[in-house]
Amino acid sequence: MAALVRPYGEQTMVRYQAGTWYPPADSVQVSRPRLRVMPDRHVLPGCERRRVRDVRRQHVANVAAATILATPGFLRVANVLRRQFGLLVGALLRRQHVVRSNPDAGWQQVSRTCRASRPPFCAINDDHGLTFTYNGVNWSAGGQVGSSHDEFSRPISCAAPNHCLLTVGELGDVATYDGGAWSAPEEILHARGWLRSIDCATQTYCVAIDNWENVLSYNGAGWSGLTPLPPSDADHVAYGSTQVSCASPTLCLAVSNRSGGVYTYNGSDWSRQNLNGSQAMASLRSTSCASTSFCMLAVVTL
Amino acid sequence: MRSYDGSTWTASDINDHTLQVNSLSCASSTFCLAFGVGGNIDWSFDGTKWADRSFPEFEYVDGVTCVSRTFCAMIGRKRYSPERPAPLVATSDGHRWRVTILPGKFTPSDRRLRVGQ
Repeated sequence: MAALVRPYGEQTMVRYQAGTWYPPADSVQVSRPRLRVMPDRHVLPGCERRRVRDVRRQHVANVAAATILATPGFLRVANVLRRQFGLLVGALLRRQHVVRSNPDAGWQQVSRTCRASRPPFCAINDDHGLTFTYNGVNWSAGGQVGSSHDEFSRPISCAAPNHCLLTVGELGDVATYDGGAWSAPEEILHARGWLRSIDCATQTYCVAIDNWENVLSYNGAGWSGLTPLPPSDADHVAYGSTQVSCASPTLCLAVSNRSGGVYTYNGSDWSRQNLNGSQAMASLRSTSCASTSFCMLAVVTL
Repeated sequence: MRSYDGSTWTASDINDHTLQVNSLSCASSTFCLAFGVGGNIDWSFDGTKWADRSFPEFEYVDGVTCVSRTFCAMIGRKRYSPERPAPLVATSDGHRWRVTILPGKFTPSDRRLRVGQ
C-alpha cells in the first residue's frame, strides 16, 4: 500500500478571468492519480485492457484496505487528533483518504444540473437509469431513462426547468426533459461512442463531447458539428474524464484528462490553452464557468 | 484555510483533509464550491481566497453544482461501505445543508449518482 500513498504532485486551482489565465500556485500535495476503469473497455486495445485489469486489482485492494481502515467515525476522530497532534496523525489521515478514495472519482463531474430559476430546479440521474428532479422543496423520482443495467450515471445538463438533456447508453443517444417527462433517447449526429460530457449554457446552446473528444453543439432544434478538439502536444495521455462547461455560446472551457489538454471555445473555434506558469499537468479534475469572464479549473500538476 | 494574494494560492489544510478536487462549481466570480474525494470538507471561494468548512454529513461527494450563493446541490454517500451506501442529496441555502435521502427503488448496493456531466 505504500506506493498508493506516496506523494506525487500538487493540486492547484487555475483561474480564467477576463481573457487571462492566472497561474496556479497551490501547494497541495496529492497522491498519484490512479487509473480508472473505463466503460468503453470493450474498445480498448490489448495493452489498455491489461491496464484496466491492473486498475481493477488495485480497486479490490483499495476496497479491502478501506474495509479495514474505514471504521465508523475514524475520519472524524482522525481530524480531531490531527488538530491536536499535527503531522503524525495528519499523515495517517492522508493515508486513510487515499485508500478510501473512489477509483471512479472524476467520472462524477459538475455541470449545470441545477438552474437558478425560482424556485431552483435540478435534475440528476443514477447509475441504474433512474432520474430525479428537485422543485425547490422536494426531490422526486422522474422515471427511468435508458437501461436499468447501466454501470455509470450519465452526463446531464439543464438549461431551464423545462429543458434538460441527458446522455443515454453507449451510442451517443440523448433524452430531453420538457418539464414533465423525459423523451425517448434519440441518436444525435454521428456521435462516436458514448458522450463523456454535456453542458447547456442556454436552451438554444449546448455542447457535448463524445468518447473520441469530438465536440457536438446543439442549437435548440438539432445537433451539428462533430469537431475534434485540437490535438494535444502533451506527452501525458491517461485515462480519465473529459469535461466541458459553457458560460455562453461564446465561451466554453473543456478539459481532457485523457490528453492533458485544456481547451477554450470563443464562439467559432476551439483552441488549446497554454496555462501560464503551469507545470506539467498530471490530472485535470474539474472545471466550471460561471460567466463569460470567469472559469475555474482544478488541476493536479506534477 | 487558504489565501490568495493576487497571484498565488496558499493552501495549508487541504492536503490534510481532501487530497483531490473531485467536484467544482462556480456560481459567479466571487462564489465557488469545491469538494474533494473525501467529501467531509468543502472549500468555498469568495473571489480572493479559499476557505474550508467542515461538512460531516457526507463521506463521499459525487458532485456539486451551484447556481447562486444561496443555492447549491450536492450528491454523495453517507459512508463508503456496502452495508450503508445511503445515497444522499443535499441542498444549501448558503448557510446550512439540508440532506435528503432520495426516493426511488434504491437497493443496498454501491450506487453512485451523478450531478451533471
